[in-house]
Amino acid sequence: MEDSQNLQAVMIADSFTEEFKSLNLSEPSCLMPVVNIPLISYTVEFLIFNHIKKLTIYAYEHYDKISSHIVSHKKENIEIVLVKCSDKPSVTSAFKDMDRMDQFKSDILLINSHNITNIDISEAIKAHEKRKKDDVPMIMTKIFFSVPLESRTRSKEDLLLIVEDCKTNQIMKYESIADKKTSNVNEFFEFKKKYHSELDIRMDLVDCDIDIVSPALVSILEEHSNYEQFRDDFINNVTESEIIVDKIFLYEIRGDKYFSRVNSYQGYFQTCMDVIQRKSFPLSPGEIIDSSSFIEYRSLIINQQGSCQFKGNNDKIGSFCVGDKTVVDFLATIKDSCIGPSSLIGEMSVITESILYGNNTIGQNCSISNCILAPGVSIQNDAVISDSLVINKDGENSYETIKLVYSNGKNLDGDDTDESDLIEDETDEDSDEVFEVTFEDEVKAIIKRQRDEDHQVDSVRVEVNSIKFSKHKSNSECVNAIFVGLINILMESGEEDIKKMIGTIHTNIANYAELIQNYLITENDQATLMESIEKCCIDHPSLNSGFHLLLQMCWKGKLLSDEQIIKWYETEVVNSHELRAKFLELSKGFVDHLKNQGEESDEEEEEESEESD
Amino acid sequence: MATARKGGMDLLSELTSNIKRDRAGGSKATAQKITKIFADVIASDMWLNATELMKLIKQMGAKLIAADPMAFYIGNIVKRIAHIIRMQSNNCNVPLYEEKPKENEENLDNPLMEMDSLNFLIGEENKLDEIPLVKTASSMNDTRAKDPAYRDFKSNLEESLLEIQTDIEEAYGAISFHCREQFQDNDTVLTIGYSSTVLELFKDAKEKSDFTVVVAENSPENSGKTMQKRLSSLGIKTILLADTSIFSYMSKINKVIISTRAIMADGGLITDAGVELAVLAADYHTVPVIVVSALYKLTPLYPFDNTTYNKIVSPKTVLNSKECKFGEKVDVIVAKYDYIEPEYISLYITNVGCHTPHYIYREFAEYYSKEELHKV
Repeated sequence: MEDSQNLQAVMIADSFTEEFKSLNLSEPSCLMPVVNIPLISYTVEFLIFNHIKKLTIYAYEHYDKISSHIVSHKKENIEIVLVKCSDKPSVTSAFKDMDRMDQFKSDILLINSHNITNIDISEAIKAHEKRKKDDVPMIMTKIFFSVPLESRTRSKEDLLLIVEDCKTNQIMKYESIADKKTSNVNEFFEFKKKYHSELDIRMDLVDCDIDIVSPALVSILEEHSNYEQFRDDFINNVTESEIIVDKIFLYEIRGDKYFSRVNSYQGYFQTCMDVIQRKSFPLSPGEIIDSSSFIEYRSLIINQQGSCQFKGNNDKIGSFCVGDKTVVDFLATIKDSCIGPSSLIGEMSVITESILYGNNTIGQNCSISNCILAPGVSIQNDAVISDSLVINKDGENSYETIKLVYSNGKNLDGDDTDESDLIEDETDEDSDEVFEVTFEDEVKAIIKRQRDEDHQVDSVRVEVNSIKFSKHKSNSECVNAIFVGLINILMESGEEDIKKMIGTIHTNIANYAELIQNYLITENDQATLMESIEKCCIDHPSLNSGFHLLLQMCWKGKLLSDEQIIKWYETEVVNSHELRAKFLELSKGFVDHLKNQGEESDEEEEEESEESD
Repeated sequence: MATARKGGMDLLSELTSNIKRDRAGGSKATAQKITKIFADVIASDMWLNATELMKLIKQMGAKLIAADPMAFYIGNIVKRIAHIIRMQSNNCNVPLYEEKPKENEENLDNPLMEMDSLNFLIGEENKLDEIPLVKTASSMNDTRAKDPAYRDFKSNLEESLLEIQTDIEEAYGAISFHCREQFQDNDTVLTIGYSSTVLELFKDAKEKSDFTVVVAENSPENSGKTMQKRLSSLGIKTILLADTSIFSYMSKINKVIISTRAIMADGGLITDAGVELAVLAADYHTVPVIVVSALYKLTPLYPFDNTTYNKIVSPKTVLNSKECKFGEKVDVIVAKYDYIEPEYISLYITNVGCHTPHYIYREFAEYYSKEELHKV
């Protein structure tokens, strides 16, 4: 307890995700209401609970809103300092800034603005202090929370594979396996086993994004590129480096505590439901966190503040929260829902397991279940909406729905026909407006810029790396993006003569081979490259018959191994595209050549060995 | 002087925050801290007359009560001090003007208040002005200090407060003293959960007689386990009992001794959840139920049922995510308190002696002024 009082906390007010952009553009994600209380209040309360006396928040977007929130919600037991960043903040920039300000003299607790948890970190701090006393070289203690794989609070992004040293709790490997089909942990494990007797592979842990960081970190940060979060790349860089002696340690929190992350709609939905069911107690509205809402849990009133109005006899089932100045009209039914402030629920409407952000107007006789309603959305009479995210359409007095899929066993992908005629179905063009530029497009733009401005190919690598880290992209995704981007740029040049075109592609692939090789780490990455080649040839009809040439170019550039090509050739693909037969046909000669070559070399080796016998 | 005053206020805000986060320690320790703060206020020059002092005490009290409305003893101490101020102002002829009960959030919790208040009919608006808690030394000080009535008032108050402090200080000893005659050799006594009052009295009774204590574990917090460990380390024969076995084991019990969170105005109790189970079982087997409590737990409020004053805590203590894997929706209710009706209680033992449920109301009349009896 005494130790933690010296610890100061640093928070970066950025969720590192653009998931919620479509929900509310005008509000920072750390002020997103969870059961009508901004997320940041839970974080601050968590710190007070753990005896932390000072919090520094790094904000970039929405600085003013965060600032006014902090001023209006002053807490007595914690000093909050808000720092305005000139650029999008990252952990690296925050710590460098702390160092510049001469405040990084003692340990710092790094926290995230989008977690709700009631874990007690005092034991972790003790473990950290003990290591410090024993002079174990370390830069940080990362706190993990054990959540079973099947748990609803565990989001897809939380799939982690961690290799730890049983004795010292040192993290040996950290791998996010959310979007991956295979993991290369086996090779790593076999390799490391020689040096460490007891390693443990954990998959039940969730990264709490709560790190106790030692000042030794600064020297490492200076040598490395910009890390937005201390995740895969940073940790593996540190653990695998032979130069950096300071390592990263793990502390696992056990027990019946609560942890959840609000970084996806599913996470947001689940967290709201959990908080209203009081799983995050005592960090619950009405307990420590002041909220002006009406909260009822299983017909027991927990909090009655503010002025919400229930007209007549409403059906209230389960646990729910109704915000300030909200009116619930006659005979409306509310079940397990969070209703934001200043909303109106029409007569006879039924709201089941939904989250109404605030300022919503629900007409009469509506049925809304399993939905998230963005602020200001109004629903006309007799509408039936289920399993959707309902957002406002710009400039019009209408709204659109986006289907949400929750991984709670229910199949919510069902048909879209249950929506009433009043709702305009979402179209592809709409969703394009809402979501940001894709990774592929960004990479393509980088390559294009490099070509236009005649920079070194190596400059592409630096830029691609920075996006790769910030968006948590894998190597194979980079390979795909670079290759497809390059071919697309070349094809856009408008060269009509196919022979000349192949020539240009040939020189270019040779130029970029080194760059692509950087990302070809595993066999999987090579397989992705194969897919990319196929994709390019399908996308550009003029390249249809040039497939084998591209294959050869990549092979010459040492991007594809013999085995990989043969493997591709021999694998039978069910439901393959029409052109696959053509591609196989085209590449037959080349593959045969590769096979013969391989056999010859094998025979040669055999002959050699026979001779030596 | 100014820094000393500020220190008092810091203490108040720190205590409020700790109470809010359930960190202040047991009821005795918190009660001591609160009386200490009030004693400091009375001894200081933050007030000029009885009216101001009353306002100040109520303001501070409201803050403390709001921190945890379920910690009734906080409100009780505030009310007790208000009562003393009234009495002493009467004794010393110091004028005290009090605002009448008004419709504010303080008494919204008590539904009776909305109906019976005459003010409600008249609709009188009576706003309480916030007194700046830190004042500059005023010239009034000198004139005030010379007034003998004022000096008496202040010294009498300090004396009474000292009395309260000693009461709280010696509560455990006094309760143990009154409890002694309840223990006979070869008794089997049942208690549920952990309570420092009960622990102290067992410790004291051990010297005189030889008895066995059966401790019910009181799930889900299982504070009974702590109790059992402490008792056995004192050399008392103890048996740890699962809550579910209380009924079947009750026939072997001679008496049930329990502690409580509060004794309510009707003689009922607000206790930790699970105690009602033991009390009902005792009633079935006609085993006497003895309630031990310090007088600061005497609460002038009327509960109706289990939901009037209660708190719902995390379901995680009962069903954690490891047990509830496949995302099925399970609603778990974990209430923190029980309300026990006065019919089930045989005897109250407080630091001033023994009372039956029918006469406990007399203690209320002695302890609080009638103005406080209906107020939250």
